[in-house]
Amino acid sequence: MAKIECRNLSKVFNAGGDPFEAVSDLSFSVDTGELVSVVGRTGCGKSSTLHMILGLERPTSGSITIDDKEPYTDFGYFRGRLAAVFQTDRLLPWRKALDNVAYGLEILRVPEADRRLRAQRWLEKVGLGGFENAYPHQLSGGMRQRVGIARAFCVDPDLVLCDEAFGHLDQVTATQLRGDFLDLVRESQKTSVFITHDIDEAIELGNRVLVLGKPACLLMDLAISEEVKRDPGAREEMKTRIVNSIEANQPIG
Amino acid sequence: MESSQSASAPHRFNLAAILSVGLLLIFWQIASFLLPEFIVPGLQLIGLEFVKMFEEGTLVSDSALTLLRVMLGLIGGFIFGGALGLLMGLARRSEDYLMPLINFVMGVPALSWTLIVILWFRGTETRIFALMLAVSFPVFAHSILDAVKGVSRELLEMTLAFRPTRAQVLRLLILPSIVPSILTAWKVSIGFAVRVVIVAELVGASTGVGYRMVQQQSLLNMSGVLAWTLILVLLGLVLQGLITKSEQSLLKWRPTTR
Repeated sequence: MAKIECRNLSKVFNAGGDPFEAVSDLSFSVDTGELVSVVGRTGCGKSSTLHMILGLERPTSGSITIDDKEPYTDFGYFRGRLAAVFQTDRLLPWRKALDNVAYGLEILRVPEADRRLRAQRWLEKVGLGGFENAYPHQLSGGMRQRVGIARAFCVDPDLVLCDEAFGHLDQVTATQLRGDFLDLVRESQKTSVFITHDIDEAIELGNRVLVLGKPACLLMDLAISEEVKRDPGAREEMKTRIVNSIEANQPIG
Repeated sequence: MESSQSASAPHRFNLAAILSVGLLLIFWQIASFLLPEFIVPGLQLIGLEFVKMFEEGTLVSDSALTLLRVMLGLIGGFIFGGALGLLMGLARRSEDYLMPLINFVMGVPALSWTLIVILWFRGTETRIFALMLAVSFPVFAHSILDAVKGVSRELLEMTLAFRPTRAQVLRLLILPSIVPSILTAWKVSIGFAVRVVIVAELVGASTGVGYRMVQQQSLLNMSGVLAWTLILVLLGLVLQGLITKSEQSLLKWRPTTR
């Protein structure tokens, strides 16, 4: 279960007395089991939206609920129900790969033997069997991001949030990881929100693409069928539509 | 290639150190032939002094006592200063109230503290402990506050997504993050503490390395003063070495920079 309802969400920052609107009247919903991409320009308020979904920031107005609970006010309710993969790996440098994967489980007070077993399984699932005892600095960027993905899935959350998760990697590694990530999400049937500025990536990953304007508001909500994903012509058409919409900062029919 | 370089670097350093110290000793020995004994005593006289100190038992007992005083004082300063640093780092408002006081205490010269604790407290050990505490806790408070402030925001957000308790944030994220700063603060404080404890023993004690130095000085025994000074230098170096050793095992997760 993880159904996101976002209604008239706004976020205004008051940095230095100059109000800055990052998110403006954003409404959308994500159903249980959906994989939704959110695409928009760099600096359009995507990350603020993610922070509010994670409950790290309070919305200025409007509301966001996951299963009818607010991530910010019902902070503790989401213990073990949320997990995030970030743009940078955000691994703890003093923990070995296995202990990084087990980090969430340790917070959830899963007994040590059990959490080592589960972490081991996830480390193998992301193709890092044999690297249990490696420290983050001994791993490549792609491997570190894999550890980050394993850490997120390891707590068996209801909702996986990704923020430009493959944006820092070279194209070959990113393509590989995108494929693996899709497999993991499909296999585990998790609800996922994937935030990105890469339109190709958004189309490839999502069953739906939410196109955000600047400041973040919903420009378009596009369903992406398997046919569109497979047909290069249709993909290109979809991409052009999204680009034009973002450029014009308004929906394009 | 990498490993041979890191292996030869300390080796080269040792050779250079032996050379420069050796040269100093040779010059010292030459000077001892030209100058009176109470100004530049020969190395053999300083050596004899060590033998005498060892036979009397003061070498071991007074060095150990001074070492104990340094360590107890620093542990006290670390616990008190560390607690203040953590408090200020976790409850930001408290920094506004505490920091002016800490800075004020830090501004009081060690020599003033020495005189103040003699008037305030009775008993040598209490006085020395109070002195060491007063001079060391502000350093620990400052460095631990800075370290807590420097805990990565990104890692904190990542951690909060899992909804930890406050105690878990402290134990799993903040404490491991600040270990390097704690070790650095210890390194800085040890050198400082050895110098301060000597002043205290010099002024108000009847035991310890500082007291022995004054005693030798009043006898115009330069080789005795120098022998005790060497003990002090060694004491500082050994303590620093211990910290460096524990650094190597506690921080083995760090990429080697050399």
